Amino acid sequence: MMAHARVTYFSAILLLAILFAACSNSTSSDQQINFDRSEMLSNYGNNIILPSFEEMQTAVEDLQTAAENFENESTPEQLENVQTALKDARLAWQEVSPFQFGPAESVLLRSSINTYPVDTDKVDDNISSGDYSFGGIDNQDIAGLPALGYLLHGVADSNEEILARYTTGAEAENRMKYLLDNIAFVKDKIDTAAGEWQPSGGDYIGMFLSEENAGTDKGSSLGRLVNHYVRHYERFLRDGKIGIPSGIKSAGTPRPVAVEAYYGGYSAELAIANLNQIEHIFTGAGGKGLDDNLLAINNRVDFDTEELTDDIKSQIDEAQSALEQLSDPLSQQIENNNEAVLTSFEELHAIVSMLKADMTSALGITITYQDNDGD
Amino acid sequence: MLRTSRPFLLPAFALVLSLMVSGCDISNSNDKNDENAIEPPETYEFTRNGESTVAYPGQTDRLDMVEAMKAYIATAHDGETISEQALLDMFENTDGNGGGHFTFTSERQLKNKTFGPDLDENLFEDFFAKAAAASENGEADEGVPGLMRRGDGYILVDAKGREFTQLVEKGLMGAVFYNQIFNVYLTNDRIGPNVENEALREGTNYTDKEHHFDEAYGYFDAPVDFESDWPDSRTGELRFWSKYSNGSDPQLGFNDTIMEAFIQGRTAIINDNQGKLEQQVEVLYENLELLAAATAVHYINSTLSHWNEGNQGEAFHALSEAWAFVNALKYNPDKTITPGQIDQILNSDFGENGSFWNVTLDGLNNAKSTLVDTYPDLEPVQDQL
Repeated sequence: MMAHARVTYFSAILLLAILFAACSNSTSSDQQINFDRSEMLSNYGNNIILPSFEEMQTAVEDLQTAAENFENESTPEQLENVQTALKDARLAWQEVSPFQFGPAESVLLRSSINTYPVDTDKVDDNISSGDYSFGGIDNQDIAGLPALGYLLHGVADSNEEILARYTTGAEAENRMKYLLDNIAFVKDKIDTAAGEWQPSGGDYIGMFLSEENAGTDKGSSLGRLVNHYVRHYERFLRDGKIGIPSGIKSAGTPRPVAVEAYYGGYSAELAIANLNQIEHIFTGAGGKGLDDNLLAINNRVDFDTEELTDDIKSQIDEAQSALEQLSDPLSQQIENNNEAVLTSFEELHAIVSMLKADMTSALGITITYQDNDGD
Repeated sequence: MLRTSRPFLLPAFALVLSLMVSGCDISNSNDKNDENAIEPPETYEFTRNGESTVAYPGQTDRLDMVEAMKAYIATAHDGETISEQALLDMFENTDGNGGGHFTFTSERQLKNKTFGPDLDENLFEDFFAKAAAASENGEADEGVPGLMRRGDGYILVDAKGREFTQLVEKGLMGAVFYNQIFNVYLTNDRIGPNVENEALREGTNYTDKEHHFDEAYGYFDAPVDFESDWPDSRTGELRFWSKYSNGSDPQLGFNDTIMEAFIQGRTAIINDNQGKLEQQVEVLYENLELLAAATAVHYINSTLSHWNEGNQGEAFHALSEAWAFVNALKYNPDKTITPGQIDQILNSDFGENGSFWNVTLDGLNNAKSTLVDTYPDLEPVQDQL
């Protein structure tokens, strides 16, 4: 059943790719004269990407402050403050996560900050031994925001007991240190990536907005943005947040522990926030976006981009509604009523071909990523 | 002169000169005689008396052998046990059919064309033995050879996490294909001024010198009309080096540069113009080395990308590719990169003691900047490769 669905899906993509390959010549730049791509890129760079990184930086800084306060004054209130700060940081991550190119990829931002599920055995061992280092290729699942979720929500059943693990427990001191070290690791990553984007830092935005990168070819800014946008949507929103834990992408066996915030219990909320950002990116969040670009080339390509734009928007709404039907903790929803989760997967899935095949061919952008290079 | 004694060529000057005189009668003034001299054709096709003078079946055979070896090792990815003896038989082409493992017969072999120092160290024989042992070993881990998850399937890796198919396939692209181009066919011994270029080799339509150059071309293995902006519909015709040439052609234009050098070099042989031949040979050495470096950078980028997506198997696969392309740099006798730098990249930057399990972000960035600093042409495109 699943295999059949997958075959159909790939056949559809293939068919679309073939269909649109034939008209890719009709989307040359002279046909886009009415649309200022630089203005759109500027909107993305200055109004969406930079602020997203800055907000994430602030959120992580707040998280560090809250954790330091918790260390100095280990009370239930301070514990709750760190828990809240963690959730804020994880929500802020939803805004940054679609932009895993350039500075983010250079510092391995995603794998460092948001690898899940957590290897809790390894985390416990590390706390016991006090001997660990973060950032290795084989230990991504011992650090980052999900590991912080385990440390702040998962080490015991109630906040009272969790607090005890940081105050009177046998490894209280080690645990607190692990918490702070982990936050410092996350902070270093986001600070470096954000600094690389800043005009006053690495000025990646200068390159991103430069005229020479304003085309639609593989190395162009739009080419990168869209490739990583679609890649993120497909692999990390549809699959990572919903498909894998619900079992669709893990051989049919639900894996509730593989939700994004298993210990914090707000995975559905994170998924909704992430889909919101996907929508913001598509619409340009008040400025010029991909939707405007599509509308500007309507009647210039061999299909109706106005209809496509409407379809994408309404399907995002459908997916949003489906996600809102889910209740947190998502892991319990999966165990109790996985049907609703599977439905939300289908709604999310329905957007993929519109973004990945229709939109990109209309815009003359080549999807360059694939799951492997075939050899 | 060629490898043995090189003059101080000024490539820029040579380029300007060749541009200045191209298309003019004067361009042939140094050629053997004006009425017989030819202009470089559009494609790698040369004839004498209406018959092609180009042949390189021996190279095609060896490329087929490497393909067969890779396919054989890859059966381990599906859980098959592979045999060391089978790999040795393919390497040595036992009984002319790789000990029964080739679907074709041939009188050639890979082993006797392999880079001498690699043979001395049993580099490939060791890979075969370890691959066979690993195929019976179950799951890989740090320091443990075996199968490692990659996407929906598996790859067979050694104790350092290096994928055997890449070590062997891409390894032989360096140790045989590049070695033969760099250290045999484009040297003075094979295309120097004293090599026979008038009499046809018995039973053939080519001179020794023409044939030697074609054998170098055969190891590049491009379609005769290969060029930049190669259509996607024809990428199936590419393999090994021509495939990777096409891979970074959008950034660095390798297809045209390398093909034009082969076509012009072959034309110079027909025109018996040693000076022009050597100019093109310079271009080939430089660009084939650059191609390996660019491909290595591509795979370092790919490693970072897969790592950032949490795919350790994909990352190790990409890093295994990078390992082999960095290793391939060593076969150019006049390489720009130093042996010490190659060693640093392979045995430290790609993980302490060469183990991918120890690889760090800093190490990968260090390897990348060594390559970019050594080959400045890569600088502007280093993140697009």
